[in-house]
Amino acid sequence: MLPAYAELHCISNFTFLRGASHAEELVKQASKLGYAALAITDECSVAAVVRAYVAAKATGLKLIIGSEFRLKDGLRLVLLAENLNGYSNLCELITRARRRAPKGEYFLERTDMIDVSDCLALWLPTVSHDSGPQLEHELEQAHWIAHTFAGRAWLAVELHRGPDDTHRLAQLSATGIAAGLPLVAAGDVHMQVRKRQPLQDVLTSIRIGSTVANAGSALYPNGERHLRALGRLAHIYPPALLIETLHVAERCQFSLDEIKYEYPEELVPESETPASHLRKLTYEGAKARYPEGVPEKVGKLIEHELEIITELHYEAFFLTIEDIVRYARDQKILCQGRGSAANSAVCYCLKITEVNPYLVQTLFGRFISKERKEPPDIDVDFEHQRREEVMQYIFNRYGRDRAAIAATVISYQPKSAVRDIGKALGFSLDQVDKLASSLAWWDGNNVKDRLVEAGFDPENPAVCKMLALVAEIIGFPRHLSQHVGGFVIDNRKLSRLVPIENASMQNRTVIQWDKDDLDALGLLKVDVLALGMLSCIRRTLEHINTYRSSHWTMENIPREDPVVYNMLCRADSVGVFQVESRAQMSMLPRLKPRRYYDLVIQVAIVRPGPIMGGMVHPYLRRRAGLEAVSYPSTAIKEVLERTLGVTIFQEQVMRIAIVAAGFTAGEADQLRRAMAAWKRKGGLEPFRQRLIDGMTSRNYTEEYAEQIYQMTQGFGDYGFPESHAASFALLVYISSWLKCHEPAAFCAGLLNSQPLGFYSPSQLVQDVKRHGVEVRPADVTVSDWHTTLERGANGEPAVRLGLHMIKGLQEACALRIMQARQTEAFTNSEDFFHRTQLDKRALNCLSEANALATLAGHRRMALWQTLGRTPDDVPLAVNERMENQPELLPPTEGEDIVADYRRLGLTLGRHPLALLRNKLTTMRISSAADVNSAAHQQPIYAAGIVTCRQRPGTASGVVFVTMEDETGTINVVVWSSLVTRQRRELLGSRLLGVHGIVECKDGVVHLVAGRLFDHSHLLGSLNTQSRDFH
Amino acid sequence: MARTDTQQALEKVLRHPAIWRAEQVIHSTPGISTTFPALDQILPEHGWPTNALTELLVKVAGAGELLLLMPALRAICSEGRGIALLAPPYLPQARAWEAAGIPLERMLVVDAEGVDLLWAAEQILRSGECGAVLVWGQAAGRALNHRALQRLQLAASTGNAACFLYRSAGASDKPSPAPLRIRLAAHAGALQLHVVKCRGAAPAKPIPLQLFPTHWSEPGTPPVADVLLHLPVRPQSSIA
Amino acid sequence: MLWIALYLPQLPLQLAQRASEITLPCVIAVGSAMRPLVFCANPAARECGIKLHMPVAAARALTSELVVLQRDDAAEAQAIHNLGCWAYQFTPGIVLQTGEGLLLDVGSTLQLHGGIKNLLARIHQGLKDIGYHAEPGVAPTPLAAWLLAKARHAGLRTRMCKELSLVPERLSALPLWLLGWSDDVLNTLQILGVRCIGQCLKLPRDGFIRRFGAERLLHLDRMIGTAPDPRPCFTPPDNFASRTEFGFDVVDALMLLFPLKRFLQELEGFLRGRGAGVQEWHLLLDHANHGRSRITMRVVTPERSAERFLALARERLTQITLLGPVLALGIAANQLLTFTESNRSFIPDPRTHAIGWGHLVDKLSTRLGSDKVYRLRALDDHRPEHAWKQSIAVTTKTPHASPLRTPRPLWLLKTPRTLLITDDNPLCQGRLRMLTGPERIESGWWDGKLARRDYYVARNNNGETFWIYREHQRNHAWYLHGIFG
Repeated sequence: MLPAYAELHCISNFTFLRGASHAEELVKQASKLGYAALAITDECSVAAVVRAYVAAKATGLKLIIGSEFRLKDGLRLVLLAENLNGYSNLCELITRARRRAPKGEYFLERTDMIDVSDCLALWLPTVSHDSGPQLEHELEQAHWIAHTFAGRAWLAVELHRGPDDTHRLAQLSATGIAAGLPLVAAGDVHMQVRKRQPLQDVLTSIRIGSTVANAGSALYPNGERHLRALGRLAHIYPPALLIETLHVAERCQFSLDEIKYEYPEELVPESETPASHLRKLTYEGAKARYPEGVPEKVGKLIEHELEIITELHYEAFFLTIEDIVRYARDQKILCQGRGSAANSAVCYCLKITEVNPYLVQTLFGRFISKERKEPPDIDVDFEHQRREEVMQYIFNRYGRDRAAIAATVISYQPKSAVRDIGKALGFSLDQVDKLASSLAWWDGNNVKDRLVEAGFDPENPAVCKMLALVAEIIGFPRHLSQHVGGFVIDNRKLSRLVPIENASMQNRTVIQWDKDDLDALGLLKVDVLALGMLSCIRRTLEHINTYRSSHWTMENIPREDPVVYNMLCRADSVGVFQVESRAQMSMLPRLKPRRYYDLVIQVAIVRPGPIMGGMVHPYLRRRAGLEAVSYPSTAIKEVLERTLGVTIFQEQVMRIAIVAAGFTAGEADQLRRAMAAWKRKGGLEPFRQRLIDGMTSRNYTEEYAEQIYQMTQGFGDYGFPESHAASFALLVYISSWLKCHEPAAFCAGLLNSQPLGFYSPSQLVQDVKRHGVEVRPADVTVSDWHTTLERGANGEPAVRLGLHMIKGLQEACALRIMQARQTEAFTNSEDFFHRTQLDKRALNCLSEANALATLAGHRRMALWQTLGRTPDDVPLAVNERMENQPELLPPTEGEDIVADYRRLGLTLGRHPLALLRNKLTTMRISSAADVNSAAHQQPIYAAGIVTCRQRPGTASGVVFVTMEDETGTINVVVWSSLVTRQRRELLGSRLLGVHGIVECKDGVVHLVAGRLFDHSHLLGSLNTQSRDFH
Repeated sequence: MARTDTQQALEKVLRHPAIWRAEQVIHSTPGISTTFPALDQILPEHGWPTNALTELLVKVAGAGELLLLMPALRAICSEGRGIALLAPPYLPQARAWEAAGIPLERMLVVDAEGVDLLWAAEQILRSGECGAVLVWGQAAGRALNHRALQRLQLAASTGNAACFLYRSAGASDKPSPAPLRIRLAAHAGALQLHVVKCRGAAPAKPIPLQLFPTHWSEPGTPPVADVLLHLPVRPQSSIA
Repeated sequence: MLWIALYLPQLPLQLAQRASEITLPCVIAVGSAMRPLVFCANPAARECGIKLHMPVAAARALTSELVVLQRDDAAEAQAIHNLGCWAYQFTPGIVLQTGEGLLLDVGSTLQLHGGIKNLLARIHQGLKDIGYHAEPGVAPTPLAAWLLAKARHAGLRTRMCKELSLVPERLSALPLWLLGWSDDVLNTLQILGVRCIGQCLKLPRDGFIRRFGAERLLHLDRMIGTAPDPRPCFTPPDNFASRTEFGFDVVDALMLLFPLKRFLQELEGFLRGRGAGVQEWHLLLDHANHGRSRITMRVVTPERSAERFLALARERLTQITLLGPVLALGIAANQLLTFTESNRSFIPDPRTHAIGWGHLVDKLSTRLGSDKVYRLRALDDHRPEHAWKQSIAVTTKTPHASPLRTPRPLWLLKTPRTLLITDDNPLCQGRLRMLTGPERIESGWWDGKLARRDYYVARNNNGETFWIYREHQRNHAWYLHGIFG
């Protein structure tokens, strides 16, 4: 008969570079082998326990939570949580150990162990020699453990087919008897099956920075550190030691089920309950939102929503976010909520969102429902340059021990996997580099094909081994990083809920769990995200309101303005939020947005999900009335009506699974998770049958069911939720309105919020100039640090470039200039030097950028003057004034352009290609204007400065190139066959010549390349840069 | 002052192994302790002779015949002299020698047979570079005659080196110029030493030496594993 | 005063190619390991569009068969040093320019060599013979000569300049970047519209010092000879060594002759300059696995002719078998002797008898063969058969592997011996009794020699103690692997 056994010492791959199995794999295997229980005891970490907990729930295995430690003096032990208090103590201990060491390390001494109550201790004797002093040392440790953890300590006997296990066991038993420690069997498990040994060896090698072949005794001598079959254990351990594991397991009664979230309490005044307080705030907000009275429809909605919120006890969550948003508003930090619960009437009243439920069909009911036991999802975007203030507010309000940022698990990606494994297997750095860099450019997991491309023989045994190991290691966690903005806030000390450790950023701490873990436990998190466009909008509004003394806010900008939609239909959207990319721009004239909801669709449809799912063309045809819209059932009609029967949003897929295939809300949610992960892990198959069976039994055709499944697959990683699209669409509208009605202010806003969006400052400036706005150069006599507006010749505002555009210039220098200027205008360059006392570096930047032109003449004269300055030249030295002046010729137009590009990244003079135009004409090269007005299918030869190269994952190897000349931009399509043939021209050209055919459809013009030419030499030393996206 | 200098210089010269000193005859130089008191006691030099041939007559391989010399070899190496293994019957397992305390850079291995082997042994002994030379005589075959043994004995004393010659047990009844001859045998997990010849009286009783870990059980006792099956998990005190 | 500058910007590439021509696109990389940059590229690489200073990753994107070599500063310094030794035959006035080339003061020796044209031709041919190509520049100041050489390399039109008064004019049109000043200074000057040396010389001197420093003005003054430019001369050492690495394994000894010829010509130039010869020189071969072998060549009388040495070496190389594939080749000569006719009567002294370890080992190796006299090295590997290595007897200190914690037998069988079995029990001169075990070793999956076995310490009835193991695969056979001697 097989013995019963509980594994009490097992690490997962969250013990980085030691554990060689995912927690889920360990749990599954332990359950398969019939273990009575499994303890996950990662080294000074509980990062894997939530995953293990989810897996254990599915398999019914008893999970014990613990952690392994090595104290400063070398003593090793495992602590296991007996109950909730023990678990909390463990978390606090880990927090203490991690917080006092650099990221990734920990530090503990014996004294730290003294007050860890409600935890069991397994002492791990270190393998020793037979020699006297070693034994004595061991005995001392044993006594200390027995004393410190009296009545709850064991000596863990871990036998791994070592040199002399029998003798070792005898030794340990003697030690145990001498110290009064009972013995228990344990496995020091590092992997779920023996087959993982190669990977474990590789991890060890990576850890010690060696190759496997040189790692020698750093590797384990054998693969015994896996979950061994019970029959094997019976051969290795005396029965009593195995039975003892059950006694230990029996004492560990803690489960993560017991973890309950406690909302912060301080947000509710003493006289109120959370529900009454939320209701009060909501109605106060409603009054402000609807001064003429709350419309009936909205009133009903509010009541409905409050009812659900109260029923699910989510009041505190809404109050927490309201509090954060209120702080931001007080600080004039622009923000906008999004996510499943954000687009609600309540959130509108609480000013969490600007999406007006009165104008838009509200989506709340679909996103928060009683059936789904999931915390509501609200992400709040803040201006990117000011988000830090919000985060600091949260830390200050709740204290660092109650608020922390969730972790993001950084895991092995193909590139890092190849790099690390290649090195460990002893491939030359050169080879590894070659392979890893070939993976960088192409995205995706298809390592094997890349190997062949990089000149490796995939049949070669060494390469095979590497491939197998790479496949295994991809997805293994490497370290914990900081989540972009996911906060966990608790009413108690957070470190009793989950350990907190140091992040790489100073004064930042993260918890050991990531977003998914928090979801799985139903813990509440608040996402505080950064969005550059919000900064841009705030700045633009400020510019306008100063210039025009108007009072525009995001709230009162006129909605549904047809002029704005007209502009978008023309794809005139450079700088607009979300819809400015090449792909979005080519969609705008086809989709022709005329109302807010069209923008919601526009935002979501140009995404890999709908594109791969084949949703785009059906939707466009139906919208254009070329195809009839029909629904297989009324239930589906309800789900898909607003998108003309086409599935565009993630929520729609889930909803179909519920209404048409009988999924429960919970199952639909599992489907959503599986959809997000199937590309990496697979696992959609089980849902396929479930979906098809469910649908056919509800009288849908199998064909339709299959179609729905295919679509689900297509959504994969990239399905975009409607709840997010709705919030984004509002920002699309607002930024469009600003661009349409206040192009100068909008351009200034964009320039002041860089880096942002798809276009470089140079392109933004060109665009705004094309819209008839005057742009004035940076000039020390008038420019501020930021780009500002000035009164233009025709009364319309002109853009004055700020000194921030000058590369290398510090903000402090600009401030000094502005200060000096305030008292009195500068009279000449001497005066400027004297009063600003800028250092040479700053002066050079200014003169090279031609910002001293007003005071010192052309940039060469200015530079000669500034170069002669020494910092402490307060009164001008006599000899300097006597200095002979050199004869410096004024720069040519071409030289000016080159200098402008070098210091400013753009020029306000003519476009560089304007200077080359004559030459280009003799080369028979057409301009962008020619291309964009050419007939469909017309062959043409054009050239331009490459501003952007894109290789979207959805377009099977096609590269999209954007080129620019003085007349506009040209959109070039390079098919993959040409990409391979002319890589060099494609990747290396700054000035690219394209022989191709014009393709003209729905007002969108593309030049399909037939042949490429590198004309970069014509540019000379002009320093242009392309933004490349993969 | 001058006197002391001369004296020191003289001593330096005299310490050279090639210098033969009359006092050697009277007081033989102390040997290197075998570290086994029972053995040191009966050897006239209170240890292995350091400038002479010692014959080790082995019945079987694997009785601890090398372990017997390890403490002495360790001591020689720690003094900065080398050791040489000539015609070893198997490959010396490098890590085991290292673990036994022999720095591998002080250990020279020579594969040779017949007269070459004896020639090599003589060269090494005479050079004085090695403190101990272990020779496995089987490889020398017929060349290992009385004359050859005499030469080895002479070379050992010239080079001030200990020469250990492993020979088969059958050679014990042949005469040999070696001042010390010991027959080795295994018995009950221990190495049995029969001193066949040594200066002074050879003891009649064999000396048993325990060279292997004590817990390597002896025939007759049950395997430890079986005993441990009944091992209590909890110490008596905590059962109550 | 007249200086010849020899500028070798392609030195790293020439070093890489000294052993053999590389026909594939090849670049030399410098910079951080994370982001190496192209430092030199051979013609094949340039044809693929690879430009200097581009990231190696970008270069790889242009051609998949690119060979990337790391720049080796030490080898370059050694090469320049050796070139200095070699050039000593033309003039004692030699200045080394680290990593870039050398300067020869030929003013005093010009007549000896039949004028500048003849001398340049001789230098050109000589360099070619030893595997180098340099751009020459001739001018009355070292800096001007250097500048002309660099300009020539950049493909600019230059003329040699023998008159000091002509220097400013000859340099006038050359671009400023040739001066090798820092990028920010050059950028600044460029923005000021100052592009060539002539313009720079015309700038007001006081203003120039104020803006660009006295050091740079001094540089210009030295270049045109208005300020003195004293240079310490290179003194060649009393020994000679040169070395190159092959990019591949050389298995045929005669393939060594091509690079060897270049070395010997280098040696000859050096000896010529010193008026010396050698009687003994060494051929040093680095092997893939056997460390290094050293072949000593001796001649009865001091000699310096590369041709003669090469003939000797050829003879010797046809006789020997290489210890293993050769990765690198070097030569060394230590004792310079006066090279005169009277030396012919010199009778070489046979090696003196040295007492000592090295001599002992030599003596034993000579008679028994060097592979019969050796030391052992411990390697850190769980598999006993991979945990040792035979090493040559003359090495001094060996690194220690981590200490063993377990008793292991002192004897190991080179090939484990299969054991017979009765009643499932292995036999070795009688029935065996297991004392310890099983100790499981599962290791070595990475090199195709996977060991998966259980070891036991076992003793037979004779009292012999063995180390045996049982295979996990192959019928679970038993083997004898060690003996507790």
